[in-house]
Amino acid sequence: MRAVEDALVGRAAAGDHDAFEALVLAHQKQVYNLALRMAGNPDDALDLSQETFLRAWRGLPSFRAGAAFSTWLYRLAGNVCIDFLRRRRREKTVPLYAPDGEGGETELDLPSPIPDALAQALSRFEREQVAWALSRLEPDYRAALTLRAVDGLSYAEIAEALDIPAGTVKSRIARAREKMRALLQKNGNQSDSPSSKRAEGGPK
Amino acid sequence: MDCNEALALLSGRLDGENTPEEEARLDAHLKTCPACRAAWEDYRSIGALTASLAVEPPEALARGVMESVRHPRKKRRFLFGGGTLAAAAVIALLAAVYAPSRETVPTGRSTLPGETETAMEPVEQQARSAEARFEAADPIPELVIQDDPEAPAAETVPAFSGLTAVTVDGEPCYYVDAATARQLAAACAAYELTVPDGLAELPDGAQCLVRIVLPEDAG
Repeated sequence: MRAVEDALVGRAAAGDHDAFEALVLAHQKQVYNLALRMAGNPDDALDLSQETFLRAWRGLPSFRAGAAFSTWLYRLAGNVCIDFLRRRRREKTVPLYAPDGEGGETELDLPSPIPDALAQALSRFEREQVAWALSRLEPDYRAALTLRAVDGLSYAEIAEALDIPAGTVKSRIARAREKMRALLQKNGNQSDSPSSKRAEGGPK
Repeated sequence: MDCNEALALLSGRLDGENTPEEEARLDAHLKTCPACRAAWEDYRSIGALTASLAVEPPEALARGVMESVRHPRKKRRFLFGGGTLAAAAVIALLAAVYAPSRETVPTGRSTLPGETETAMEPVEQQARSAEARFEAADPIPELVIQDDPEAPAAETVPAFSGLTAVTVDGEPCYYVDAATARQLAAACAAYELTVPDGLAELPDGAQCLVRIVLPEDAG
């Protein structure tokens, strides 16, 4: 499998369009799902995925033969997504903060998705809840958990893709899961949920 | 083992990434801790739901990528984001203005390939003229480089905070600081455009004036 891919990478680096298309088709699902979880909407996810592959195409001639194309690609995708989130944060004009009456600011709790009909399937509701909780994680944590739990990468592959030690991958994913569980529990008990800063971002 | 450590190992168990020794210690803890057993059930169901979030990419993804790969646009242009100047433009370095030290900085101007220079005054005079006509304007947040005005954004040059719109003889120009000038130079280089003279060498603390040459102007 790896040998096939290496051959495709070699041909694509030499300018073979069909070889590159095969690589796109082989990896687009994982790249797209990472972008979708990071951007939070299909339109941006499509743009970010295409940007990732176009950067890969431009960067292929300098790609180091022998390295794993997939992790190199995921690293590109991660960088494209993080750049996008930084840019979006800078452009954000509506603050998610409200005066707390004591001269400070309290972060507004973003509403979790509400099912549009009571008859909506429970499984779909649960998926939306999980997607919402995932979207609330800090980007670094969301990227690690998405690569693991949605895209199915191993810790070693994630370490390479995100350029962090394997031990950090393990703790980051563990903290991300704890955070998601806490968010979902809190969301399931909305009546007594205090407006809490802990709801924002991931663990430090 | 405390429950915090157990939670971390539950995550590792879900991914099959624990060592046998960690698995054994986790089992011992779970035997005595109902809370962590409940957490394990939660982790499993959350994990299954998270995995179910995976979707098939739209068909437009690969098609769009391969369209760009097979038919690359020859001409690359700079666009200002934000819609205020939503027209294709190229950057031409008009002239340098003075650093706080009043030290003269590299001057000169050039246009980018495929564009025609418009007649301008000598650069030094132009610079003074620009200073005299400086008008505070809203900073433009970022510069977007696109292959085509209709195409989605291909790449964004980050942190264009040091960019201020001015008007020189009724035409839009921008003061950029040294950091921004270097980014602009890098962007030009990355897109294989001629880097305007002096753009990359602007000393810290200095600013230079760039002009946006619209295609209509360039003729």
